[in-house]
Amino acid sequence: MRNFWCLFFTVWPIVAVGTFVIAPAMGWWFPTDAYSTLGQQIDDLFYLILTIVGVVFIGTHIALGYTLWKGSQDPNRRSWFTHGSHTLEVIWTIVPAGILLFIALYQMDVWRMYRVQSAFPEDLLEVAEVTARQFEWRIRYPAPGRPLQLKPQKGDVYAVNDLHVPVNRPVLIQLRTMDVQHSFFVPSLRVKQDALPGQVIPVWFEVTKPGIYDLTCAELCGWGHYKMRGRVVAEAEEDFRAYLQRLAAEQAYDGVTPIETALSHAEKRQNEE
Amino acid sequence: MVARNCLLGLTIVALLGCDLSRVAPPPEAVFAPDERIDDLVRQARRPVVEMVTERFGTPNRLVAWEALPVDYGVLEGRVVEAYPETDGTCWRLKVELDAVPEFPKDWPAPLLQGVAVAFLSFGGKPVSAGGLVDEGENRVGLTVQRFDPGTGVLELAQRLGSPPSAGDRLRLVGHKLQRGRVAYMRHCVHCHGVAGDGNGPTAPYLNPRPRDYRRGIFKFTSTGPNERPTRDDLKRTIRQGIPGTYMPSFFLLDDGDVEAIVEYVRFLAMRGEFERRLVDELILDYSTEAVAQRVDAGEERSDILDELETFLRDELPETAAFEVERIANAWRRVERPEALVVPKTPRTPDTFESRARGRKLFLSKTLKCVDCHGPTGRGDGPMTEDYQLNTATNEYYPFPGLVDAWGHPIRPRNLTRGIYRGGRRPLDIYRRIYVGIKGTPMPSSAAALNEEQIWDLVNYVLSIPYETADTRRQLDAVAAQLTASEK
Ligand code: HEC
Ligand code: HEC
Ligand SMILES: [Cu+2]
Repeated sequence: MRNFWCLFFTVWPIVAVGTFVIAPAMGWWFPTDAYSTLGQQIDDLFYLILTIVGVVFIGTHIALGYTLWKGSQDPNRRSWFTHGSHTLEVIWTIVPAGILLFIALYQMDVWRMYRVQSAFPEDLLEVAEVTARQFEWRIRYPAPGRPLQLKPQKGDVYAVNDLHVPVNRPVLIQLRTMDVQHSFFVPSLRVKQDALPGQVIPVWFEVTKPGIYDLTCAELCGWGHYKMRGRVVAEAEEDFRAYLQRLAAEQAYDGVTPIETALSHAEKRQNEE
Repeated sequence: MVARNCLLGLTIVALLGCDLSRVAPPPEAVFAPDERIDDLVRQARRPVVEMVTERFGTPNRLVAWEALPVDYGVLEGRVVEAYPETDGTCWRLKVELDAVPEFPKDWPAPLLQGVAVAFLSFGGKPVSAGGLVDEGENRVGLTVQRFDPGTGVLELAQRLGSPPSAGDRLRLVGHKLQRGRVAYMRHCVHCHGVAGDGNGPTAPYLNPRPRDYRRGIFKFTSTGPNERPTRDDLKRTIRQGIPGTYMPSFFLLDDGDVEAIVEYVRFLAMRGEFERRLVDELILDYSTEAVAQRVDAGEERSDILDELETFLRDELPETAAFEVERIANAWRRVERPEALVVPKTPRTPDTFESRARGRKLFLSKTLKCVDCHGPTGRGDGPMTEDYQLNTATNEYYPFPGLVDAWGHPIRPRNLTRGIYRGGRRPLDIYRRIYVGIKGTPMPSSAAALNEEQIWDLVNYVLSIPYETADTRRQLDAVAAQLTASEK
């Protein structure tokens, strides 16, 4: 019994470190790497904080285990009572405060790039307006070759639960909701932004790898919350343009003119411009 | 010491709490019968329920009725070897399927289980009629107990008198329908209900209500007035959802699942229609109320019941056969290309003049669009304030406004919002105007309009969300000029 608590408190840091060491190999880590530029920086911040917290955690537990062990060695030893140590208190206030201040300042850059509009990249492409509703994502693209407007325009192209974006360039979506609060969450891109009723919130990201990424809702928004499954398809810029052209042609279908004809007309018109 | 005991105790309690085996299984799903069945006299109720159950089964034991144009999912194969189970209760067959469909992850345990087995040849001789084995007097309805696609071993739930021989061909019927049921139960049932009656647990909170499939009426189709939807229509509804309503988009659902759900929805619709026709057949003469009235009028109750019995014995089966033929034809017909409503001319270019002509039609007295949709298309026409006559009871509804085929209040669409439930392609709007919206007061205008006029109307309707008071005035001016030049 004497050594039980010493062991108990020493075992946890070992278990914790062990877990972290084997975690990536066991698939206990992030489901995927971050496939967006900002996402990689967010991961870096995460690792930094993890390291700081890990070092403190292990240090504290070693100290605790050591103290317990030391105290249990001599059964005749008596505890001594002390009240307050000014120096000690100052140290354990200033050191964590310093660390917190460091984290707060260090993350400012990423925060600014992510949330402050004046810090957004300059060559942003406004791809679409994404409107969350119970329980789906309604997407409105501008007509091919046109800029996105705040209000729906004639020629806008609509889709549902399927957001296409070009890869390797910063893109922006305007996020809104038709009813309650939702949250636009693409885990593999480390993008998460609440959609608030009455607000249009710009969200930008730059996908670094072509692929299909899960889009989910991260704000419990009602009984059908789990149904809000969508996807973000990141593809080469010309594929993205072709996709939009096709979607627009499909949406203009009149049951008579074949979609291929409409597409080739659109292409010709664009070449002339 | 105390602490350690506490910890131990807590752990044990926590573990006991996790004993899931004690949780009661959910109640078995049942197809709720038609609401009007309770109005029938008791003696008429049973035969209807029994007949429907015999032909369609229960949610957990579906029946594949060959009279219906449902793709139940058919697999064919060949017996390689047959051997009895040691306890003699069933036969195991090693079979080789001609083509194995792409199995979803949880295949096959829940999906092939219960699927019907029919032999095309047995003991080396071909089997006729429906392919079920005729064992003397008993027609044996064989079903699959278990199937392992890896080893190809198929376990039959019943024992046959004699085993099939190697080389016999067999057919498994119903895997697609069962897959449809599993997916439907997972994704749709809480709104549309087990029987497809639009009465799932979340339905009371929704407006418009989830579709009740049992009348075979679907709103957004590519087929003519009074016609059933095509498979593609249903698929499109499931993939795209119905914007502006609670019907969500199932865009990312597996293709195989969507196809299977479509079959299951069609199956439920046909089941509902069949049941409804049987009730229709009986309700006039044999509802509790009708029987009471006939007794009041001097008939003997026992005579009426005798008459009912004769009817049930001699006429109902014939009626049923006739009705199922009609239902099957209605669903078969729409899968032919000529059943589709397709414009004959391409869309008129979307010019100002075309829209002006469209606006003129929209305002015209003959089409009455404004009576419902209002002069600005806001869905606030005078009909929304009127009391409507219920043609079934010949009484006025107690609330003002339009009513749909299911007896629910309904508002004409606000066309300024740019949300089109049946799709926003010009083709979709063309079809809405040509066919109307089935089950709702929105009428078909095909008889009153020619091709160009429909396209003008389409062009106008699609421009309403971007209309301002100014553009409307300009359109009206041009429309007035057009009218003047016509005279
Ligand atoms: C959240 C509730 C909800 C769920 C879940 C749901 N639906 Fe619906 N569904 C509706 C509502 C509401 C309507 C009626 C819309 C209208 O009348 O405009 C509807 C209509 C339909 C229609 C009729 C379309 C037409 O043309 O008339 C079909 C078919 C349909 N749903 C199939 C499905 C299938 C299949 C699923 C499951 C994969 C499903 N629904 C899941 C609510 C739901
Ligand atoms: C008797 C009333 C009535 C009249 C007349 C009427 N409508 Fe409608 N309309 C409705 C109702 C009700 C709906 C909504 C149906 C639904 O989806 O539940 C509707 C829906 C629509 C829609 C929406 C389709 C969609 O996909 O969302 C359009 C477009 C439309 N009507 C156009 C017209 C035009 C054009 C006319 C004149 C030719 C017209 N309506 C005449 C009642 C009417
Ligand atoms: Cu949500």
